[in-house]
Amino acid sequence: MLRVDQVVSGYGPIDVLNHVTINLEKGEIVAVLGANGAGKTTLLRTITGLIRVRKGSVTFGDKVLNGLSPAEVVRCGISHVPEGRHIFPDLTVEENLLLAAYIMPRSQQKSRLDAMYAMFSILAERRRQAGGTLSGGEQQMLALARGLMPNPRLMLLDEPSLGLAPKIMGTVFDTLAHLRESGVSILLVEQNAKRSLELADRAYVLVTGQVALEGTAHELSGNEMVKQLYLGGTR
Amino acid sequence: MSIDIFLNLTVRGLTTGAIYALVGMGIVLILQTTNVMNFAQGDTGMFITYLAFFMITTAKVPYSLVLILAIAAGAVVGLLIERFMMRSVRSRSHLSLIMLTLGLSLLFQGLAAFLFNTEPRLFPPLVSGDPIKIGPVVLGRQDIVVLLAAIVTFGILYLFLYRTKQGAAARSISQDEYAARVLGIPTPSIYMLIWAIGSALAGLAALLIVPRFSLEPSFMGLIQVKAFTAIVLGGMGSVFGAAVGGLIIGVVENLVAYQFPAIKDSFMLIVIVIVLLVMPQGLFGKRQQRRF
Repeated sequence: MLRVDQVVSGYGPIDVLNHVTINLEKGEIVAVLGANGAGKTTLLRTITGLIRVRKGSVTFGDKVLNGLSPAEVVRCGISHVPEGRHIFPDLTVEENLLLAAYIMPRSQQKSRLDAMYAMFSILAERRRQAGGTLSGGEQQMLALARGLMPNPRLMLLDEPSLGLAPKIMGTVFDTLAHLRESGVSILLVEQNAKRSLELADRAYVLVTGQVALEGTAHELSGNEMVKQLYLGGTR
Repeated sequence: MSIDIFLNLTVRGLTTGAIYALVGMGIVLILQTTNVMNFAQGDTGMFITYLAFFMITTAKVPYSLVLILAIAAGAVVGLLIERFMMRSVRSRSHLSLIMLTLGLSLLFQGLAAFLFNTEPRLFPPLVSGDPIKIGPVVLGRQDIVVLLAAIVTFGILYLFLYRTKQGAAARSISQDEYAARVLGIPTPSIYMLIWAIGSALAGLAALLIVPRFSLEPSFMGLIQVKAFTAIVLGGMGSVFGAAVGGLIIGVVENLVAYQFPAIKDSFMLIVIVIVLLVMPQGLFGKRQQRRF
């Protein structure tokens, strides 16, 4: 469904991604592992149109995404939950959610909003509260709900468990598993390699802007290099 | 100062303050959403007033239509500024953007001088007739129009920011532009819309105040300085702070001008300095940035 083919992209004079090729089939959860600076976030930003594709191509279904604006990419059915949550602190929870479905007609926005409140009851309770007053875990739920608002076919998640207490981290991963059942495909960038490999179907390992390894999550969990680098030694 | 004189000075100060508020709100709206401090706000209004003058005198447009046409012209000018100037330099430093708006200001002055020459002209008020007496307060008809226009504009702006999705989008951009782009909000069209609204506000303000002065390329200069004082007082970050700041400045200035005519204009600069020293966040600003 998503094909990133030999993509080069970066910032200013620097190419961060160096001929990266990844695939994602419908219904899959694919994890992207890698150290800081390996290009994981850059990969997501390139898919979403926040950064220009310099070489290669990004296609979604039969649509070429190269050169589309982020707004157009969202319209194609891809949503992006950025690292660090980026909740609008002075806007209410409800305004945060509605803005994520900016392009939808009002009636559709309403039904998506209801769906989100049904899924995340804490957000329904806090709908009139300013986003900045939520706890870290609640903000992550809001960030996920914002990602789901436009009813995407593919979600790009950047470090959804970063900075969360273990218990809340568990809730986040449960939510992701639940999403898979509802048919949303997920491209997951995570520093918690163990948990993301447990959840994912397949995974890629990025090293300095190139795909160093790829395989099923099971294969990679057993891989010596992955064990050493990302799973904290042998287990 | 008798109480009657005080009341008259205050109400008339409010009408002047309403103009500062209109100019200031436009500046803050553009600043908070697009991150550009627009030093051309006053002269955008000046240029639009010249266009209105041209409509009245040469094109013989009926007076009732001129206000609407001028606001529309302001919006178009704002769109063009965003689309053909600001968009291509968005990623530049703050300083170069400020220089650009200063250049724009000179451009408008030059254009006005070139197209209409610099000779001062009398611009008739939108409404004429004898002043109206409300209790002890005597108020010109144009002043009443100014106050009503400011109240209506304030209301419309509030509804726009808090009741429309474009308004919510503008507020979201002011808080976290990156997040707004990630969520798929079409930020370029919001920037364009905000420039249009801001410039329309400039046109409206200039058109309402010009009958008190004469129409010449420099007539908005001092008003822009006062509007800046208003937004510093209001807290830079808040459209509604700018409105309240404008009204306060208008009233205080009028009272000071009555008691100490010599320092009328320099007084505002003293106010800027004092506000920045004593409470740099202004009346309505948060320490931590809040933009609306």
